[in-house]
Amino acid sequence: MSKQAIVFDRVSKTFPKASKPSVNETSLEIGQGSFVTILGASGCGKTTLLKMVNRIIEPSSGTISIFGKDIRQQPLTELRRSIGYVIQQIGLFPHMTIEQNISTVPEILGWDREKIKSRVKELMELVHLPESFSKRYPHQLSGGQQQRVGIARAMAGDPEVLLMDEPFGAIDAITRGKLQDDFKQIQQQLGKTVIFVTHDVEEALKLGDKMIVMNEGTIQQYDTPLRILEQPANEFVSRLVQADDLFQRLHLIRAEDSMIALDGHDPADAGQYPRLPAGASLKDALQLILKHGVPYVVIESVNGQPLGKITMANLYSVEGG
Amino acid sequence: MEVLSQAIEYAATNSDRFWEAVRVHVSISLYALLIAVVICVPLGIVCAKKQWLSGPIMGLFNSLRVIPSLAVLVILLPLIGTGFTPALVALTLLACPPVLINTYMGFRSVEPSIIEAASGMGMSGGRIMRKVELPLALPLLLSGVKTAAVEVIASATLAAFIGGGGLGTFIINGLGMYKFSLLLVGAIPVALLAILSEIGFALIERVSTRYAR
Repeated sequence: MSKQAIVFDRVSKTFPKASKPSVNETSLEIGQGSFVTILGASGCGKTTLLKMVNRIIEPSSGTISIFGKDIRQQPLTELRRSIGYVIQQIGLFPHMTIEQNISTVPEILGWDREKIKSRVKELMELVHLPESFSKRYPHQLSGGQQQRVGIARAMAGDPEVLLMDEPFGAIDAITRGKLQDDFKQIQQQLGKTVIFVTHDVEEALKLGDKMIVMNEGTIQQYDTPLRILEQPANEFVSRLVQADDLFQRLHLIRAEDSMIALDGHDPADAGQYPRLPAGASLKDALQLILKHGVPYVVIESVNGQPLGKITMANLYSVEGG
Repeated sequence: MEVLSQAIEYAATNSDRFWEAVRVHVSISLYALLIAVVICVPLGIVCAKKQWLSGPIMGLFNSLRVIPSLAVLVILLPLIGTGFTPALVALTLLACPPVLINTYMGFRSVEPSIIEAASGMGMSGGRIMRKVELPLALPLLLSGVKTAAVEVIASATLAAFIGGGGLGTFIINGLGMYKFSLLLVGAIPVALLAILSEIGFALIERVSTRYAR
């Protein structure tokens, strides 16, 4: 069992003058290095839940701890410097260059000039921004590029935990897809613990190792995206994630995980059957089968070695669960 | 043209008096502006942060603005007498509203999301003020100071009415003696000073918004 990064213990939040709590008696454990998405309609308490972690919102009751330490035990500014924070509106400082924006936290932490400079360079590379952008101002960048800076800035102090509040919500669909892929890869590479709030079902399913579905201040289900699709806890979850949408599910299962051995596959046919990389999804496999009118597709490793195959029978079994 | 050369000749022959008037005029304007900035910039920031305070404070200063400067001088006359001080008080009151209102607007114009990001990163309140809010509010704030400066320089001529000195002295004397050339000895430098301050502040404003271009 890996270490718990963030633990909520019976946390509630009721805003003044509100009749119902925004977050109600919520307990939750988030393992180190996991990417947890929180999905829900607006007003369900997902943002409140997130913002209690860096105390932008203070809980009415209950405790939250990060790596076993109650978040109220250290000064507020210190706590926040140790947590990356990315918001939908990005919030870059318009009067500072990209470089200065990214340097914000390292400067507060009192790093020396050289170290900050190399850190900025490293981060810009990490988020795929050309080095020539460092002297530019935020308004000279596109929305997607600005959010890349937002992510780099949040990660500058090398925080273990990143909180993201609909970070890609205001970005056009094409750019968003690329940002999601890039960010997921960064997260896996660095092993950061991420809490990611979104109202986009596909985004929540695609990015999360685990996923929280919230409604009316209560966690409806907390599980892996695939399990949530296969066994939605209740009617609400089922409707929200469109659990009956088989394509959603096929999209989440890696071909590698459900392929069968290449029995009866004649290597001579190698050229005849379409091939897919191991990381592809069953949805990709189905598409290829339909497109080429073949009985199966061959899954191959990175260096082109055939590993197994996906047949229509594999695809049928998805419905069976 | 003849009036103009007479004016120049007057200024040249009475250069001591002329330069002394310029000095008084500039210093009374600068003091008024400085006091207004010292009072109204913090007040404007407080108004921007505490919404409930902004109504009464802004209302007070705006109503003060309605009173003509000359009337302020007359009202102050029995209270603090004649000379430099009452003139300074009147000019300061005149300079306050634009500085206050623009400071308020400048700080209100900073996107809340920028401040949220800043505090979310662990910047302290003071640091956010120095590094983020103040630089972002500065262009509007400066434009308020610019408006105030031009108004104050123009209105400082009134100081002469209560013996405060300055370039207004020439204007009043010129009017009294029906001597147009004498009037110009005061009027032209005042106009030049106003234009210069306008240009000066416009340049500073430009520098402070460099990042937006």
